[in-house]
Amino acid sequence: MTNAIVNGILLGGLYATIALGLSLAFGVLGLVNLAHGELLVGGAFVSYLVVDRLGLDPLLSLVVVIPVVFAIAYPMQAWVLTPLLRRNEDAPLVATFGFSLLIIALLQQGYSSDPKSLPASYADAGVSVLGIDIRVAYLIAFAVGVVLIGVTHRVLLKTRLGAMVRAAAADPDTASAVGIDVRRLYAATFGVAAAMAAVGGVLIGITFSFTPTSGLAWVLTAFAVVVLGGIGSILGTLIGGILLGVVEGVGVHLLGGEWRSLIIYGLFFLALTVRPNGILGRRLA
Amino acid sequence: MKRVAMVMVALVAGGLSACGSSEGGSGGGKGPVVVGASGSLTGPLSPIGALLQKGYAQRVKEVNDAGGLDVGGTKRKIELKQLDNKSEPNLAAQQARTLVTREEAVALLGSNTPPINNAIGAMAETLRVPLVMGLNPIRAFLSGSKSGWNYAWDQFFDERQATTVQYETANLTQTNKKVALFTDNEQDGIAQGRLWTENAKKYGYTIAYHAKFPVGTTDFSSFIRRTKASGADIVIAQMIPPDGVALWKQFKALSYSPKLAFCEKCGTNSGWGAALKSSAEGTSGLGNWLPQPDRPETKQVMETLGKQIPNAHDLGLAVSGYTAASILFDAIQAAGSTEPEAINEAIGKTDKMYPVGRVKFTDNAYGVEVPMLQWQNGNGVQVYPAGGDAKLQTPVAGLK
Repeated sequence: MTNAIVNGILLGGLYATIALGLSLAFGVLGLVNLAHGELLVGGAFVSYLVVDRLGLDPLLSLVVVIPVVFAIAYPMQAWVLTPLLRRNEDAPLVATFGFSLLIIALLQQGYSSDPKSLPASYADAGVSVLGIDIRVAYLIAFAVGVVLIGVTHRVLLKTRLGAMVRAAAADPDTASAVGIDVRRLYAATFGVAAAMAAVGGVLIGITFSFTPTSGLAWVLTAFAVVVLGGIGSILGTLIGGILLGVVEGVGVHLLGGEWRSLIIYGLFFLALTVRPNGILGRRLA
Repeated sequence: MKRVAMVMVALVAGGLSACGSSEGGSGGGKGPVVVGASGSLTGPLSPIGALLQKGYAQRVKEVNDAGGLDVGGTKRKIELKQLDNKSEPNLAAQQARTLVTREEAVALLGSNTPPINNAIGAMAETLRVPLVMGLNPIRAFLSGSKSGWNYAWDQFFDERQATTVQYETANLTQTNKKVALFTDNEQDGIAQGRLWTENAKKYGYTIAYHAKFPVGTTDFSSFIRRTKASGADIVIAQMIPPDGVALWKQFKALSYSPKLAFCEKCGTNSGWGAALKSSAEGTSGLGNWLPQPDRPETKQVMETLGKQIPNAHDLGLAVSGYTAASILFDAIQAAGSTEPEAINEAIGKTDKMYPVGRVKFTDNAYGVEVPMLQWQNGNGVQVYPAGGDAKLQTPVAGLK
């Protein structure tokens, strides 16, 4: 049982990382980004390319992956999603679905659907701590998740940039009236959210495997995490991720692996019913 | 929140699917004979679907290069209409209907895995159009129709025989005869898990642990801990390739080093080696074809597909497609007609040597003899039956 709990906590850090961008996009932009899973997988593919061509370690490849994915996502928001948002609240949702299909098609065209995995010595390494076997990849994913969430939380709450983001999220018209360039801020937020998804994608590539179509499964997990933690709540994302990881790990330990999906989606629907605003409530940061 | 819930429900229930289509075609007169195939060209099964398609394309090319099929005294070329089912059974069934009703296909070629092939088979039965397939294990195929198949025909390995091959391969080395099973919840995973369990005692093995999980599972930690606790020397897994890659990485990370590890469906194409690199070494998996080097059919296939596809696992998948297409085209010639009923009757009378052996159907199925391949130096080599390419290597090198 201890093994299952510790493993669940660490896996929860990874879940939180993959959900962070989704939560940020919803919190600031009010956008349910259906392309989140594909941006995540896209990040893994960019890393795969960098690792393959430059021989870099997958974690070091983030130096390239983050700006590349940001640069792809920024114009998506600036040129497509923000103009749509002004016309119709639901139109961007449909547009992100379109982006999702487009990214899948591009990845399939470029890489086929063979499963890929990011090679690293720590990807299949393990350590034993007090009799508990732990994957090094889980430890790294957890650490990355905690740092990423801590930094995001701090930036949003303690910096001038964060104050501008929160102002734009709360009332874009007033924010614009006081001189905040809401359009650029929205695009930058979407770019950052996509880059965070890409970090999650690289961690998944190191820890598990990925294909052009594996984004769907991960976006479902990300949705479950943000609903549990509270949509738009950055710290809630970490709590939601850990809760999901632990409940999944303990549930599988007690009931068996065939119950895994039921446990995840059961928890999701339970959270929607009992605490529709999540554990930490619906708020930005 | 309501919007998120709606989106989530829609994603879970519907998936992200879309239809493909292609234009025109006719099965009658003196024009080309249209044959349809709904293949898994994208989606998780596309590595397999692409190889199956290569087998079809090779046979079509050979027939067309020779002037076409002799249909009742008229030479007619074959036009293969291929749609992408995105590895989804429902879409495959819809496409089978489209191919027959809109594209005027006179017969169908199969796809891969039981959920997809049986879905296409059910549509073929409804439309009364013959369907010849491979890559559908015989027991899963037969259990796919309660009243029995009339228009769907399958040539692939029989799971009972496959079970024998796994246990007899395990007999080639010293183990404690304890087996851990890893099976997903797909039709073939459930069926194969049951067969391994039922037959273990007969071969002197014990199922020490059986991990069952849904497709798409990524974290196998708790299963691996239980496997280690069970003391199993042998792992037999049946799962889709992405899940298999994740499992193998976790075996290594959690220091589980079995003497033998079989990964059926997952470790049986070149994508396995590409994804896992050195960790793939020593993984065993059924081949889809037992080459008989002395037979002319084998020599012909090695001259064509063998030169295009160097990996033994991949070649077996393509040969399955090549054989299915050969059986169907021979039946069209034998029928001397493009009438589906006549073609279907001719398929039932098949009794001829093909690359996979002498095909003669019983209950619409033919069990293909298959070897056991093991990943050695980046390729699948035959380790069972003895006398193949190499000797079985233990323990599993990639998981040490």
